[in-house]
Amino acid sequence: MASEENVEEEITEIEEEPENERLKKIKEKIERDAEQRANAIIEEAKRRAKEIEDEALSKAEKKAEEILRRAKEEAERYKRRRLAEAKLKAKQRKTRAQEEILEKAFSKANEKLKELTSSPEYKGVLEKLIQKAAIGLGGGDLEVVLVPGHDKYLPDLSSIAKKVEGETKNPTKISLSKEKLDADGGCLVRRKDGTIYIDNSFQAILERKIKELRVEVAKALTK
Amino acid sequence: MIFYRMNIIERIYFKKGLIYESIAVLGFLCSNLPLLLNIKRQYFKLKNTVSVEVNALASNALKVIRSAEEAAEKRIALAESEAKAIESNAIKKRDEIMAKKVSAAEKNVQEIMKKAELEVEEQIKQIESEAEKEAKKIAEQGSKRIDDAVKIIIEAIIGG
Repeated sequence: MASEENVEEEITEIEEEPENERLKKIKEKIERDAEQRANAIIEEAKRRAKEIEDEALSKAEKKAEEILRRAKEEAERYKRRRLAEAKLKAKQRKTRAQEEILEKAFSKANEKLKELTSSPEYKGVLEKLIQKAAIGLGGGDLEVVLVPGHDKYLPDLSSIAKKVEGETKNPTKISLSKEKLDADGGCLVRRKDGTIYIDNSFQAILERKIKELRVEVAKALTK
Repeated sequence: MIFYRMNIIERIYFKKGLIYESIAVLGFLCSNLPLLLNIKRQYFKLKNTVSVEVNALASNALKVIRSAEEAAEKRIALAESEAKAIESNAIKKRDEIMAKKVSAAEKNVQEIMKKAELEVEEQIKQIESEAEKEAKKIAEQGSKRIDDAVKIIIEAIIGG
């Protein structure tokens, strides 16, 4: 409405002027309007361009932040994984060292036991092993199986039988078997009828006690 | 713009025509036929003259206006083209900004990973070194105590 009034006023003014002047004013008005419109278009484009740039900057910053955040997370994950691997390896290294020393101890013990089988003390050892096995079997008619060549260390079996009898309250008779034991040392005691036996060879005893022995030996080695 | 232009042309016609129409009416009112006829003749003569004059004026005005409009259209077209160029540049710049920021971030990513690699390598070396020390310590201590361990094993076996 206001613009229509303005136009009316402008027209009235124009009508009071000479023809050329009026046309000049109309032309100027058209030019002015066009210039304003052109300026508005350019201003709008500039505004839009700024908006695009600002938006792009904001989006780019967000994207960059996201990339960095993910990279930091990835780096942390990578560090954790590598450290966990390294810690596991370190633990394995320590375990290996413990295993090595344990193996060394068992290997040395084995050598000592072999040495023992050719020493005078072996007789006493055999006596103890036969007696324990015989008591374990509850006495009765028993026989002892020895490692080849160990007969010379054979203790007095009747004396052992008496001790077993005293312990088990069961009449006991122990004899030496003709069979031979496949072991480094120790003995196997069985009932004559072959129904029950106790293997007291060094290897069999070791196998039975290996779990608790490993713990005990490891403690002894690292205390 | 068209409304504005039509308004001016109509007004030019209207103002000029009104004067001559008034003279004719006055002649009739006087009931003087020769005079009236004369006035009428004069009126039509003048009307024709005015019509030609007005037409010439209108034609000139239209020409000037059309030319101004054409110039205006060109100006606006130029502005629109300039605006398109501005927006196109902005879009290009947007892509450049994105590429630049992403590239910078990726460079940082490489640095972050490199730093993490260095840090972790350092820590791993330390862990390995400590593990090696402990392994040696275990071996040394074990060697010192191996006789005790052997005694335990033998005792466990020969003791039954």
